[in-house]
Amino acid sequence: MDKTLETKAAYWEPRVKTYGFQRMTGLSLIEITVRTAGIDSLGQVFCRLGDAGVGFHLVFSRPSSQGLEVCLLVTAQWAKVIEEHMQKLVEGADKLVGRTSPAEMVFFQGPHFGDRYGILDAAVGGLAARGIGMKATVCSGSCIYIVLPEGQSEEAVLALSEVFEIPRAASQKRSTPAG
Amino acid sequence: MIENIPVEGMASSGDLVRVNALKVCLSAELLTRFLRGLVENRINMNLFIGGEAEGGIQFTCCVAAPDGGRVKAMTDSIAHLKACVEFSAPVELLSVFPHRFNLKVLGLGLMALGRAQIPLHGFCSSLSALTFITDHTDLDQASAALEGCFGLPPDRSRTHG
Repeated sequence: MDKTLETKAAYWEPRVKTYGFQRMTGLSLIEITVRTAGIDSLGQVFCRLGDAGVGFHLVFSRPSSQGLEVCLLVTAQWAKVIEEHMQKLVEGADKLVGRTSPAEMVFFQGPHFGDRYGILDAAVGGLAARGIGMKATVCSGSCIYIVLPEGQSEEAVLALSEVFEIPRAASQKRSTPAG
Repeated sequence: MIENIPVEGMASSGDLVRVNALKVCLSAELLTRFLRGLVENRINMNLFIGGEAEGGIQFTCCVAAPDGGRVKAMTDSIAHLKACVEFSAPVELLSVFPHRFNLKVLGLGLMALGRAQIPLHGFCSSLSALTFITDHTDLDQASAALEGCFGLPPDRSRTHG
């Protein structure tokens, strides 16, 4: 018999609780592919944009065959300004490829989300059940971000509400960025 | 010389295994099978960054190093998934907080890591932190590069929530 006493604990609930869904509309998703050698130059562009007061709602990046694919989710009114700054980088080894599309976002948190398994599986399953396609998904810290095509966030919240438990007082908060 | 702006802290994750589906796109069904496999094995992801690409879904995710073997066994057991998923050398998540949704914080971080030629395998924001994925072996150099452009408080023992 094992003489070592061990206590293991896990947080589990039949229907995963959240603190409510945040929904954002009127956004643009800017996707940029940048070579590894161009990271410094891209950083300089972002610094200039930051100095100009341009903020973001979500940024994420993953490797691609050409370097890094960088995605910026911003208030739609900033998209043109960002594109203009990016054009200045389109040369030599720093060459960037980009595209911009309208987007919306739903994000949410819940108890111990950063330390539990199964949250993304539940979210993806809930959206798939309603045939809702995602543009991107990010799980970082204790937050789940789902980037959706324009006009899909309301339906996405309904789909997620069937899978997750939400607070009665505030089932969802809608935010339209003011810039 | 890179400009220096103050932040409240920096935190590292410890040794992680990075799992990628980047060269081949996954179908929505294969992504579901991957996520379901993690649930069945009770494995948490420290980070997941996924998005649609031509022909399917690509992602990179990180799990705790001790869970790496079980994730590999799980993906190996699903033939189509085994062909799409790659496991990379150990990585570390290095987070700076708060970013205040300011592009300058991201820009300075990219400049610092780029100039120091630190391998960067991705990054993402959360509500407070900006997290960079780099090789575990480059953690010290990456930390030094970021400390050079972010003014950290004297007490650096804080970690983000």
